[in-house]
Amino acid sequence: MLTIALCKGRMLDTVVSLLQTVGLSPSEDILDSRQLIVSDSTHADVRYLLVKPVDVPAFVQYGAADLGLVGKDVLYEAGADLHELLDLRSGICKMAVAGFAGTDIARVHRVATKYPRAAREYFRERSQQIEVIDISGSVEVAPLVGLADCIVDLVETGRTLAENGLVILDEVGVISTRLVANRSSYQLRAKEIDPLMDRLRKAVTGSSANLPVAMSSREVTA
Amino acid sequence: MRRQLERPHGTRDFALAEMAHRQYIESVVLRECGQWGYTPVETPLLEYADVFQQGVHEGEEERLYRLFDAHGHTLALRPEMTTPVARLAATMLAHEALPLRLSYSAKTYREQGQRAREAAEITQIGIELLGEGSADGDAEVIALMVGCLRRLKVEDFRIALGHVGYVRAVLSVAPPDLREVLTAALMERDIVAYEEALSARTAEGATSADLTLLRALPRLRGGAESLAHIRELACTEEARAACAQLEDLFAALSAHGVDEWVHLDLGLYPHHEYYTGVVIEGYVATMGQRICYGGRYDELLARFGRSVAATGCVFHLERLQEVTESAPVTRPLVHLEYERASRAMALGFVRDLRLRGYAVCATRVGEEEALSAARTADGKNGIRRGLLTADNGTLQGDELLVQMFAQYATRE
Repeated sequence: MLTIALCKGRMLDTVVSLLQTVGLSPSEDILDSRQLIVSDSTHADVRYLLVKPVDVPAFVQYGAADLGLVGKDVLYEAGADLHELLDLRSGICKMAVAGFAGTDIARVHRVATKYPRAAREYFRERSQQIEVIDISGSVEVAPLVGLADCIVDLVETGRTLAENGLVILDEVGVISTRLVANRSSYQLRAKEIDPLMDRLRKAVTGSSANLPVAMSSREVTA
Repeated sequence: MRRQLERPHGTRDFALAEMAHRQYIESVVLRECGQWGYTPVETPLLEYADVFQQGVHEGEEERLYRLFDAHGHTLALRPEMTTPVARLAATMLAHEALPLRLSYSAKTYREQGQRAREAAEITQIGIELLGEGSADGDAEVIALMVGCLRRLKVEDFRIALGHVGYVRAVLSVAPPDLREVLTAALMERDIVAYEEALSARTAEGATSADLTLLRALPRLRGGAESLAHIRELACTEEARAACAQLEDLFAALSAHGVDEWVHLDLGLYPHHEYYTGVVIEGYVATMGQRICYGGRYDELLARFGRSVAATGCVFHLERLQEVTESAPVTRPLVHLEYERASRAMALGFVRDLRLRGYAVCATRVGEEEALSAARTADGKNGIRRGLLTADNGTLQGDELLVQMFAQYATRE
């Protein structure tokens, strides 16, 4: 039984269509069912775990799942001990520094973010030591109430930023979904994992016609 | 914080059933090593920090626990055993005939990184084979590791084989700064970072065959049959030499009868810089971390003044505990309680039982306790219980114990 951990939530539909392009078929109701363990309709030996994105690295690292599909943002923060096999080039969005227009990044001291490791690393590259305020949601409110000078967060459409009077000050990087593997499964189940990885690689890097639906349907705008 | 009740972060206590389990594993592994002619060694927990600078990777050096002696020399708690054993082999054992086969079971210490991946205190049980430079040496180490796992009744495992010589030969076409990034990505097993670095930079002067191989490297793996393909891709003398070694190794592994547990994974690149050839990582189903790891380090002993080919491999005892069942306790255990007046008789009997191989606890009890002990005298947890009362001569409790006491009393 090959167990694949997937992120519950808004990215699930793009991930499911990607899996479909490589011949897997998660049960129809995966998108609206409340079941957390879902079988594959054509492969009896494949099943999916639906977990919170931040928990995918742990499920894979400790072997509850053999493979996982998870965003690089989450992966980087978790710093988990696992194999990162493939950039699936879906679920793409930007990680950016945002604040009031005219904020001088070089003079920033306090940064509010859900991604403390990424934020620290970004400022460290600029030889800047900052104080990170680790919060778990509504990050945009932090500059408005004077909690932080700026924020580091994911930006998909930029609407939330705009509605709160914030702008992108700099881009930290582009985030995409990655295929990760448990270190032991990678060795013991090479015969199942390698062909799947190859099919995904072809689907992702092949001709543009083969690009996952995510690339065409999801607008990447600031 | 009541620190006097706590252990330092990353350390553990062991007792009772868990400790018995540890001793069982240790004895099984060391006995198997003994059957292959490996003799145990012990080195100090403390070494001069300079010793480890000969073997430890830069990033690892930061994780040494250091302290100072009275003369201001920097000491370090050993972070691993291969380097101290190499020092030992190059000094005290310098005149012993080769090949030397050494084993150990020892606690090692490593400051936890920011990402707490493992404990600070790890018990390493391992072997080092010195003075055997051929593939037969590598095969012996692997076969012995497989042998230990099977003795411990672990069946669902896989040994992955890499070759740092092959990897270095393939990476040699890349400029030094790119090579550094690629090496770091391999160590982390981050294929995405590896490919990103490759596509961002062009390796000038590299032929297209070089580049094909460079791209394929982290994903090159398979059984012995994949060697043909891997050799075809090899473009340098060193890479071809590595392939020839791997071929020889697979032949030796099949002669040992262990090839079914072994496969190639040329993306394997361990954290230690001292490796020079074949490297090994063992994995057990249900555990994400390596159960054992090691490899060939032909140049390490030369840094201590004795140039000798060497290879070895090590288990983490704490990980073995997680994937093995404890063996049932087979030693007989007797718990004999006695009152003060029957002490001489009781301890004489106990001495006799111990000489006959029984493990015996003897506890003095007061009169009231004696009564309650008598009530629970029927064997609990496989322990034979008995109570020798004050009227010197009657033993109540376990039937066999009563019999043995009767025999003993007649003899005396």
